[in-house]
Amino acid sequence: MDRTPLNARDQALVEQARAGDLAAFNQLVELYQDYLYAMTLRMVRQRDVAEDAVQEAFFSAYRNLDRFNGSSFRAWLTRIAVNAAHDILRKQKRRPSEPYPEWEDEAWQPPAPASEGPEQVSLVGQQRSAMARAMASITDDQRTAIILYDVQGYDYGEIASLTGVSVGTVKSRIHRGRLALRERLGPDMELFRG
Amino acid sequence: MSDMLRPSSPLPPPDHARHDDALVAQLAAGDPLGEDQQREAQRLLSACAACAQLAVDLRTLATAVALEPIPPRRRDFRLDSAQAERLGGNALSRFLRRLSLPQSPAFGPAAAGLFSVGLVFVVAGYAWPGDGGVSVPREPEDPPAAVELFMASPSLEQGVPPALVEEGVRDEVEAFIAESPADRLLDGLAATEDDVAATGEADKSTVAEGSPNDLAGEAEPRSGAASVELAAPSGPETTAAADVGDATVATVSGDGAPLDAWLILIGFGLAVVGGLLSVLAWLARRVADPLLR
Repeated sequence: MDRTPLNARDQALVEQARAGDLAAFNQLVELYQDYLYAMTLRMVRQRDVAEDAVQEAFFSAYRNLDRFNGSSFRAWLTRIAVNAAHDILRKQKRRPSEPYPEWEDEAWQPPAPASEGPEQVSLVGQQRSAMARAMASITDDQRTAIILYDVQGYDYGEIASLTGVSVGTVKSRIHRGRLALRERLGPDMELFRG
Repeated sequence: MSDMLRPSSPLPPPDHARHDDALVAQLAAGDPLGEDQQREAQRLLSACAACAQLAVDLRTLATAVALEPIPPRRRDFRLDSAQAERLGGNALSRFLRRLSLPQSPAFGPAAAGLFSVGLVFVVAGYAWPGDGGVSVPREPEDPPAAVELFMASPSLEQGVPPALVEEGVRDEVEAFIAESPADRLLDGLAATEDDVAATGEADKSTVAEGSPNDLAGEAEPRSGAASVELAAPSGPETTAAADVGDATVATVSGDGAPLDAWLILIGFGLAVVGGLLSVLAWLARRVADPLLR
């Protein structure tokens, strides 16, 4: 995808931030905090943990602005956030906690449109719960690859660069991940067949 | 296409388990396939209802994942000035971070290379065939004839053969054993001026007790200045000994700076600089942000 104008804007803000302009860096934060938060939350499945990962990513970006080589700030930031999320997931494996409670709590979810009947609302809720459980059950690498490809819209090569693996590995993770999702959904797959 | 491929029966055919689901997944994702793979995948979709259902499901899942809602964030990630100051770090950490910049990727290897070259210089200096600024005795190519005779005796426990005693070389044999290169290396590679003088005295006494003409040349490899005095009147063999002795005396007394001494000096310098840079490179790696891997 062509992000050249965005890159130019980001590059200008990075230059200002490098010169000590904190407001310029905070503009970059405003531009990307929602994107990073959504991505890391899909990866780690807990709001507090995702927020910690995003915080760490922005801290790291600010500390290392000199290391940004001027290509795509968004991709550079994404890579840092992916690494932060992976580090958190690794730590969680050593200290298992309550698995993904946030997706079970639907209090944050927006109210269903009035045009949707109770059956449709119920179906959407069931789909979300089933998908959340299935996504939580596949491997971290598969989940990361699927999120970057299906949600964030990166292509295979970009994902390979972001995650530090080969294009073949990325493809394999995406395909195996989808197959695993379908298997984990089991009978709940019917919810999505409409 | 997905409607056309929708299976007519929910039960998978018995041979579906043997079908290549990864190939079906590749086709469903729209990955470029080889001609044979493309044909095989199409055959599976048309012949196997379960494979066709699989392809449809995989496309559905790709869309469903993207539609998953995200709860709103509760934190604002903008930095305040106190955080910015703290993240900037102190002067040392900023310096080390600069060292680990991608623009200077050769810093670590260059430091290691400098250290290695320094070590090579030091080793070359010590191994230089002039004995140089250190009087490390070189291993004689052949031990003295008297020592060979002594070592060939039936048993060292029986003492020195009478013939050797009569020839007055017993002291030399004992001195050879006592001052073997291995022992001297263990005592320290850098011998002092006193060591050289003592060696000379020992050689003097050895020669005085024995036959100067027989021993001067053989004692040359491990003797120092003393060889010059004793061997000078002798034949061609002692000329070489005198040369070596002169070089040793000149280095120890500081009359000149031979090549081996320079090699050692430069080598030590390079190794120290390389070592310091290596330590800096290691510290830079330590402070490097793991999230930038």
